[in-house]
Order: sequence, then C-alpha cells, then structure tokens
Amino acid sequence: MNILFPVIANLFLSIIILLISINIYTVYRRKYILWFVFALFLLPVLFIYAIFESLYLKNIWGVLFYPLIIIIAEIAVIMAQKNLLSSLKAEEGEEYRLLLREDIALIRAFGKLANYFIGRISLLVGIKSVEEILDECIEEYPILAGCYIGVDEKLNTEAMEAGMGEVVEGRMEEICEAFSYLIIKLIDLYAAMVPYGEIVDDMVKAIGRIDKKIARYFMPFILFKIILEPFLREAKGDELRALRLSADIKGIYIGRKGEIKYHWIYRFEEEEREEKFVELLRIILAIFENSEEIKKEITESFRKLPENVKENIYRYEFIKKLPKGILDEEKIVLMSKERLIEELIDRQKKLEEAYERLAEAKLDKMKSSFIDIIAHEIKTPLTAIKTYVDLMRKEKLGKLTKLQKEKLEKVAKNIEKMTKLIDDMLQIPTIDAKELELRKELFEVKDIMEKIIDDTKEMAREKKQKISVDVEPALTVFGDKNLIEKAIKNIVTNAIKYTPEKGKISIKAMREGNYAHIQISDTGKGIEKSELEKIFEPFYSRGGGAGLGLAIAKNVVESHGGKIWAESVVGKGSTFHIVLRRKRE
Amino acid sequence: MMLVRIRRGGILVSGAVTLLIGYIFFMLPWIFVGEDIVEIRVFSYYVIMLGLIILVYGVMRIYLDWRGVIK
Repeated sequence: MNILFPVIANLFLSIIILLISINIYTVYRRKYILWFVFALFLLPVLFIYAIFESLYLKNIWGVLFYPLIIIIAEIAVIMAQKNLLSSLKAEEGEEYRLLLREDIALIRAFGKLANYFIGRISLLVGIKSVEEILDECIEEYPILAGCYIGVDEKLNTEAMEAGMGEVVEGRMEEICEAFSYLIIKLIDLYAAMVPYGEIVDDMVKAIGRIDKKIARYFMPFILFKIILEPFLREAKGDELRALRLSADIKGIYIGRKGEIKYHWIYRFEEEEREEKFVELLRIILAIFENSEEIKKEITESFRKLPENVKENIYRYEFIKKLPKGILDEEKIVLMSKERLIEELIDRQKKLEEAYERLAEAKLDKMKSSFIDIIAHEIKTPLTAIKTYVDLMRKEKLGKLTKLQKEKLEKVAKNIEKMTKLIDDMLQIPTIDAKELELRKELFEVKDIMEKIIDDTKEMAREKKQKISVDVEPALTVFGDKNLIEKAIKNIVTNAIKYTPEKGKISIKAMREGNYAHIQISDTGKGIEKSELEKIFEPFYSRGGGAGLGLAIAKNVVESHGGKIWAESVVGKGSTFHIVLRRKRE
Repeated sequence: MMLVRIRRGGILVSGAVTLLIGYIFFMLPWIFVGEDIVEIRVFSYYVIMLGLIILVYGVMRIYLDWRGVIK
C-alpha cells in the first residue's frame, strides 16, 4: 500500500495550519498563541519523520517517537490554554472581546483620526503636501517609521504595528507624542483653508469613534485643540500677544495664529497634563476681556463632547480644578454624588454597629431573664420553707424538743443565707448591662441617706457600731434615685460588714463644683493595696457574700458619668468616694 | 475594536476529535499485535488527514473572522 501519499498530504496540511497560526500570532502577539504555534510546529515534524521512516528506517523506533511527540504537543496545548485563561482574567472577563494590544489599538485610533484630516486635505491641496508632512514627522519621531500614505491616499500603519515587538512601558506616551505632532501639523494645514469652527465640528465627530478604553490618551487633544484653541484663533492680536508672552508652561507652545502645540505634554504624568491645561485656562481668562463669555462657551463645548470621552472628563478630581463658572452644575452633581457615597458608607457602618449592639442586648436580656426565672423559681419554694420553719420555731405546730429547736435555728440561718444569695443573684443583670436604663431625676442626697440609715441601722446596732452622717444641706444629685441609693447602700452595708464591733462608720456628702462628693469611711481592717483594684470586679469577695455589691455600685456610678474609688490603710480603715453630677447637664 | 464571539470552537473540536481517532488507529496495531500493520497505518493516516482538513478549515475561518474585524 502506498503510504507516502497520505503522509505527504498530512505534512502539507499541517504546514498550512502552522503558517496560519504564525500569521495570527504576528497580528495579536499573545503568549498563548505562541504555545499553540509550538504545538502545531510538532505536527509537520511528525510527518517528516513518518516519510523518513517509511523510506529508510523500517524499524521499531516509531513506537517511541510518535507518542513522545504527541505528549509534547499536548503539554504545549495545555500551556496555551493556561495562558489563554490567565489572559482572559486579565481582561476582566471580557472573553469575547478581541484581545487587541493597547498600543496597537492606540496606533489605529490615531491613524483613523489622522486619516479623517488627510482625506479632507488631499481633496483641497492634493496628497503631496500630506506626504511631506509625514516625512517631516518621521524624521522628528522615528517611532513613526513604517507609516506611509498608500495608493488609497490613506495613512497606513501596518508596518509600524508589526515593528512594535514586546509591550514596553512608556511606549503609549511615545506613540501619543509622535501622532499628536502629526495631527497638529495636519490641522494647521487644514486650518489654513477652512475656518477653525468647522474643523472643531469635524474633530468632535472623529473623536466620537474612539474606543473608551484608550480615550484617556486623547484628553490633551480634546482639551487643547477642541476646547481652548477656538478662542485663541479668534483672539485679538494684542490679547494673543500678551498670552504668548505670559503663558510660559512647559510642554505647551502657542503659535502666532493661536495654534496650540501640546505634543510635548505627553512627557508629563496624566495629572500634570490636566493641571497644565487648567493653568493655561486661568491665564486665558485673566488676559481675555470677555472671560465670562469664554466660560460659558467652554462649558458648552464640554457638554457637546461625545459620550465616550465624557467619562474621562467628568471626573470630580478634574472638574473641581476648573475655574468657577465652568461646568458648575456638573461640579455640584459630582460633588453631591461623592458626598452621597460617603454618607451611605457612614450609614452602613452605623447600621452594622446597631445590629451588633442589638445582638448583644438580646443576649444580655436572655441572660438576665434566665437568672430572673431561676432565682424566682428557687425563691418561691424557699419562702414556703421559711414560713413553715418560722411556724415550727414559734411552736405553733406543736411543742419541740431542745435538740429540734437547735437544729431548726440552723435551718433558719441557712435559709436566710440562701435568700441573701438569691437576692445577690437577682442583681447580676445590673452589673452586666453595659448601659443601664436610667430614670434620671433631681433629688436631695439627704433623702436617700436617711433611707439607707433606716435600712442599715439594725445591722449596725447588732455590731454596736456608730454611724455618723454629715450631708450638706440642699445638696442634690441628678440621676436614678433608686439605683444610686442601691449603690450607696451596698457600700454602707459592706462597711458595716467589714468593721469590727464598736467600730465607727461615717458618711459625708459635700459640694465640689458641679459635682456632689460622697465619702463613706469606716474603721475596719482596711484593704490591701493590691486588692484595691480588684474589689470592684464582679464576684470578687473578701469573705462571704457573692462579691457583687461593689461591682453593682461601680456600674451604677459610671453609668451616670460619675466616678467611684477607694482608699485604704490596712489596720485603720477604708474610705469609699463617689462623685456624681449635681445638676442637669 | 469590535465585539466578536468566537464561534468556530465546534469545528476545532471536531477536527481535534478526528485527529485523536486517527491517532488511536495508528497506535492500535502496536497495542494489540505488537508490531506495525501497514493497512491500519495507512487508514489512520487518512483519518488524520480528514482531521487536519477540518482543522485547516476551522483555523482559516477564525483567521478570516479576525482579519475582518481588524479592517
């Protein structure tokens, strides 16, 4: 069987595929195409080997050769796919967009713009003068080398595109500068024959066809040639002279006829370019008589610009730089947009905080209601037990033996202890709540002191202690009366508890500016310095009790915006200070 | 630049699948018999040729599509 025919035909086909792929690569210069080209290059190699084998070798080596080549080709295809995927990601998901390089796209856009003028100029003065201009530009900017005027009397940039090679940083600016130079020259030539106003209309039309992606490179063209130059071309001789003398801005040159040569401006950063435009605009407004009219007309010409370039111009950072009277409405709109965004962000933050607080509050509430339920559930049977124990102790349920009486006394004492513990438990929510619900009112300190003394005097009497009270007359406090009373009572109870028999407890309250200062001193055993900081922590107890009294007092005082602290000398006694606001704020 | 949807994926895939079938036929004699059988080899070359023809068509179409867009 003739094996050579299909092999040669396959070789031929694979070479065609390879050539087309190479061609596609030269146009698009994408790395992934290069991998495909490599994979496709292996196919002709494979068939050449097959011809060679069928003619000369006739051995078993093909068994290794064919799979090896196929494996290498597959690896190349996988690499190509990987590269293709990452390049798609880089294009931000625009899979279907033709992946043209930015610099090639820019060359084509400038080429189109130039062709717009070349077409018109060649009708008026012939293509020769355009060719001369192009030669001059290529001499000045060698990057344009390869551009030529074709037989169709159009600028051809294909050779320039092919010579681009790798993507280089700063190449875009170089291209912009070179083409701007060419376009400025073309416009100058065209303006010698046609009124500039008409040219501006042409330019606006031409600029409308530029892709949004590269429109920012045309900003100087728009700002100087479309927006400013019409005023300079129509300016009076003396005004223009004054402007040419005073406008010494690097990168911009103003000609005698009022033409602006701006191509050097691409050597500066984008922001600087905009600043230079604003600077020139300010000078024009200062020199020209009819500055108000100019402002109006500039606003009009900005508004007439096509949509694709407006996005680049209607940015707050740029528009805010423009002098007052130009694009004022747009300024307001953009500014309010920015503020709106700021406010939205602010509100979102507040809302999130509120949610967090709500979640915490819910948890707090659940906790306190849980404690409430448990405490009450224990307290109810305890009350019943206490009642029966009391009845038994008073021998209302029959006579008791001495031993029974003794044991019942113990039971009663333990019931009391337990009741106290439950009362303390019920106070836990008061410590935990970050912000207490305060029912603030103005009340006299004397009133709560009397009540506290009333409640605690029995306890003090048992220990034969003396309580002295010295409250300044008419001293008021602005706060939640019940909670403050509870806080002070806790401290007084503590003082009684930790002061030995026959000790002294003194309570003083006095004015201190806008504040009321309450002092509770005792002659107890005192508190160690290391303990002073801990005593206000919940569940910290120095002996008996749940260790909640001082924690509650602290929370209450601090919720009122007040201060609480303790001073102590071991062996001599302690003094607790509370400072609270006297009046309504 | 215009938006272009690449619609030639089907052609490329069918070309590649035919190539794969050709390659399987190509390898079959070595896998099952242990040596080369010329008839099968020639048949597989024809299958591969068909695959390559389909591929040429697909690549040409893609190239022409893109070329049209550039101009």
